[in-house]
Amino acid sequence: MIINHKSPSAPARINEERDAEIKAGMQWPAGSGIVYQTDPVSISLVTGRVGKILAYQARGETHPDFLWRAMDDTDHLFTPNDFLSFAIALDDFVEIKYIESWQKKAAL
Amino acid sequence: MGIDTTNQSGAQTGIDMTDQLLKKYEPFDISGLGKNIAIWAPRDAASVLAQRIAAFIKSISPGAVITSVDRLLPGTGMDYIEGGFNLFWVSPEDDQWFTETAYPYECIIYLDGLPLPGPGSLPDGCSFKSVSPQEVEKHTRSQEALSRTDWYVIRELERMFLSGSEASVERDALRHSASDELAPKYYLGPSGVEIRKDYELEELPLPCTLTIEGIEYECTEQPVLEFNYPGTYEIHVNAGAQYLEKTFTYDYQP
Repeated sequence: MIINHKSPSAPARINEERDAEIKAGMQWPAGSGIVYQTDPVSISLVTGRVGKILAYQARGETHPDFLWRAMDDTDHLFTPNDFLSFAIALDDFVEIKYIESWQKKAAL
Repeated sequence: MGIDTTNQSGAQTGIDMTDQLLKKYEPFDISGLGKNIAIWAPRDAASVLAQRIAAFIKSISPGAVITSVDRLLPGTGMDYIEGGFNLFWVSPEDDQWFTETAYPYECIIYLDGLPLPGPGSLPDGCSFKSVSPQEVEKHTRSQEALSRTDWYVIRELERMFLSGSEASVERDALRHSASDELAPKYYLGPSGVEIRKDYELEELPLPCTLTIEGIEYECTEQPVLEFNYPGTYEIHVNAGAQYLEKTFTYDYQP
């Protein structure tokens, strides 16, 4: 006989996996081997820095280049434009993880 | 001479009661006990009493080999003590054991104050020796009742003042482990106390009930397990009294 268990915890398991994948960090630029933290606090810090860069631009000024720390505690130099590209990639990265989790739940 | 430990209770502060009890036995003529000795007592008290009688017999007969005095151990029901003694115990809940004729009791040792079964169920010519509960259990009934509530008081205090703390979480985990460790390994079968059989998930005893995440599945044949999502699942198995209740950890990675 076949027991086909419909796990009531499957959605929670999918959420846990998604959160773990997001927390594992994002490599940027792709293939560089440099991994940046993408946990909620780190995302909040990136969002804040993006706002600061845009605020500079709104005032007709340019944010100076700055160092941003990777997961391995090494610092990397970013121009404002580089950082905006990084922020866009980060948002895509998180969004893809969410979309994948939704697809897994739909397939249950 | 015979065993007579009646009314040996009283103030015993500071005295090792085990030694005290053995001293009371010292004058006894073992041959007067007969070959078959029955102990009439609640099971927990009888266990202690049986161990002490066995210890006494060993003390006067160094060559005696006592493999067990635990009724609940496999293969027992009566325990042979080298030198010609059979040590039984009988609890009030199991008075049918008194009717066993293969080993007629020649002496019954009973806890003082415990009513004996009716005369019709006792073997003829049997002698009786009583022992005070205090001597067997080393404390009074009230002390025993008091100590039995200790766990409840501790649990309530823990719940009131330590709920959610690291210590409380750790103790909950230990309680869980203890519960597993104390899971019954024996059952009362048609021929007496028997060991519950072990098995593996790949060869389940049938019929059985599997419980996965609170959902029960009745199995009448070996099941093939499938899950709608990969992961590690706990599978609890209940296959009736003859088999251990077990929980397996199953890693499903299709």
